[in-house]
Amino acid sequence: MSKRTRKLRRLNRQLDEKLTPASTAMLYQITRRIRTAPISAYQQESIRHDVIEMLQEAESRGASPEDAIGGDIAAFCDSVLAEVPPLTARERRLYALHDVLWPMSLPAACMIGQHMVLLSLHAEGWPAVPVTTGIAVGIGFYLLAVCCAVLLTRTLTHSSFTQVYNGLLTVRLLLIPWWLIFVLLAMFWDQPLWYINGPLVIALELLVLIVSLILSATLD
Amino acid sequence: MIPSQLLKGTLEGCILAALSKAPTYGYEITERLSDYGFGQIAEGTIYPLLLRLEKNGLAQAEYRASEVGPKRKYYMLTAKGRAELDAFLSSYCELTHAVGRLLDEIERGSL
Repeated sequence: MSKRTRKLRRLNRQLDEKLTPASTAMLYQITRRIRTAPISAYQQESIRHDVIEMLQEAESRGASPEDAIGGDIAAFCDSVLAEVPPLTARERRLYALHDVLWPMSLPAACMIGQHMVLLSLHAEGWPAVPVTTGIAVGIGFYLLAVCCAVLLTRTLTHSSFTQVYNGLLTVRLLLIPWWLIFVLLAMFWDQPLWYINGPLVIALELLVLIVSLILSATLD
Repeated sequence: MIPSQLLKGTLEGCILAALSKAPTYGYEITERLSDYGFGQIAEGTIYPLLLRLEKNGLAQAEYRASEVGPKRKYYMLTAKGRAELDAFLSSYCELTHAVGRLLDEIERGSL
């Protein structure tokens, strides 16, 4: 997510806290609807900002949210989305790549650290780095946590949020304790299962991390 | 109250006309239209049309400070928008002239 999108999202969060419960309920329904649209995150936040402006204007003159937006929220959202240019095929591909790489970027960063730990533990075997039972179990637990988080988020939000990374906040919070457990597993459960090329793996992890960060910074 | 179907084709041109006076924001446009006898139009009806004008380069928007909440989005006509407004006025005059002639004829026939 680009800097300007993050900034606008933060501003919208501050503004929507000031809305009345009725306006908040309407904004929530509109947000759910626009989150599913194939438009950029920046455009989604721009629409949200304009809607918040309309709702606040209505509140200030004592009007209801329905007076400002109209009674048919679905029709309003459809007419708004019809006027916003959809993502191009190239942009959709980049978003899809971002959605795949983003959940992998933090583990990739952690993996680089882990491989440094492994190198210090198995420096004699370089560049072949052993994948031990502890590492395999650690990675397995991480993948399981990601899948559970995605499934849980999708179920709770009824697929309102199309970008997978929105559902991975829990996993991000779990990463630090997970990484500590991983290091302990790698240190004490160290029977090698197979060997991988250390520099190649670290290069791949760096690539995932860099591409993911570039996409995050440039995609709206 | 003007039926929405009748308004549909002309509202965009009317918004262009409202913007031609001075830069303005959504709610003020609905108020102006209401003053002209268009009835109460929700801001939510105007907003998609303003987005369309912006998308087509007929209007441009800028945020300005507001005393009631977040910055207001003010819309103003572009040169392309002025040309579109002229085209709308010309087409609309042609239409009202034609409808007027038709109604006159019906009126004369029924007298």
